[in-house]
Amino acid sequence: MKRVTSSRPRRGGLILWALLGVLAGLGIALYLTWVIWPAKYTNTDPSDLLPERKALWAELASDGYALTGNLEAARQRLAALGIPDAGVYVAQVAEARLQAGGANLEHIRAMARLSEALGGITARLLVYIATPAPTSTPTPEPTQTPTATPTARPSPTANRQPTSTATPTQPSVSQVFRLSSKESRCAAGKGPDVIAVFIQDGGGRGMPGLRIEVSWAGGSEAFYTGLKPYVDPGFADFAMEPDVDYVVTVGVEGSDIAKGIRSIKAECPEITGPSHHEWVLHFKRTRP
Amino acid sequence: MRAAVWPKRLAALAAGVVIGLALGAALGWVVWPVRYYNTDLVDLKADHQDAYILMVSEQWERTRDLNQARAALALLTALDLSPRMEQAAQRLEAGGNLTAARRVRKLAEALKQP
Repeated sequence: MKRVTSSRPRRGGLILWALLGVLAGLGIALYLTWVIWPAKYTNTDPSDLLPERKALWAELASDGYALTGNLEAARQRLAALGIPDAGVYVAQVAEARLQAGGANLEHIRAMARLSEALGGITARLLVYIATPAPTSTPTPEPTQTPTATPTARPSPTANRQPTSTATPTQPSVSQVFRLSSKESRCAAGKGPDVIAVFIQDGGGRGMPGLRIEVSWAGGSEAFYTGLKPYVDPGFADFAMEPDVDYVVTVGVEGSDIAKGIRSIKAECPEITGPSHHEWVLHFKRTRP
Repeated sequence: MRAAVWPKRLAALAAGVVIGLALGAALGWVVWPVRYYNTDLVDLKADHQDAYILMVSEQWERTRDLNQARAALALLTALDLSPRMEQAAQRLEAGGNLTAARRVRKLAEALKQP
């Protein structure tokens, strides 16, 4: 019996060869496209940036907000980063900078303010909102120009020289502030305990632009009235750290000092929901 | 003849390679391209780079820290910054943001100082 050999390859064999070719081609193509000539991303979005560049972007957006006050622009800039909760992210960047040390406080304050505006502020950063650096030197409210009390002129008696020069006693132009009340009270809302300071002139009007000094063992800060005029022109607040004793005074020599101010751990049963305590200090301007 | 089988096999292989290459190119460049998650500022689209330059200008206007502004812009280009900043200012101006364009030009002017 003669064995017949066909010159036609079997169909299955050809498919196998074609599949081998496909695999080889696929391998070569992927090597070329992933390794040799990968797709170039020259037109990337901020969401693709390195983490440290994203942090820089957030810092710049915060400074822009601090300069222009344009929250919508800041929101859009942060949205480009593709981070779901931009306010929390900005606060995280600020906290990371603080933890790393050597942070520029101007930028930290800007980030704290933006994160507050976006609802992502943390308790630690609240301090940086409560203690903003003044953008201009606060102008002290003009005080009454002292008028010289007329003293009795020496009568023009002939040949009589005054025994002393008639110089009026110069009254002090400085003003001092007396602590008129100090009380702690419960306040609604989550957050750290707060020192709330109200400064009024003799007529009971709030006085903006006044420096308040708060100090504690190991540190001190200054903050200014007038930055929250919607509360009161003479209002300023400061976020307290727990278990720290604070001393508060108006930054004018001779003014009263409020002592024994410490965060309070007691609950506030009269308030439903989250609460905190406020130390409310009223200072009133008096003449020395 | 057994030798007559090989051309057909080679043709099938070649056709397979061509199909594989096409498929691989489509996968590698289109479907699953290399993703750059950690890009730098130089890779940003031009409009995002403009936004970055504007933000640096705003920061400088606020802090007046020229060294910081210089360092921030150096992340964008190692080349002369002036033409790049002028481009950004012109684009911002064309978009109607005159204040932004002015800010960028102001910083560009300040950066010319040694």
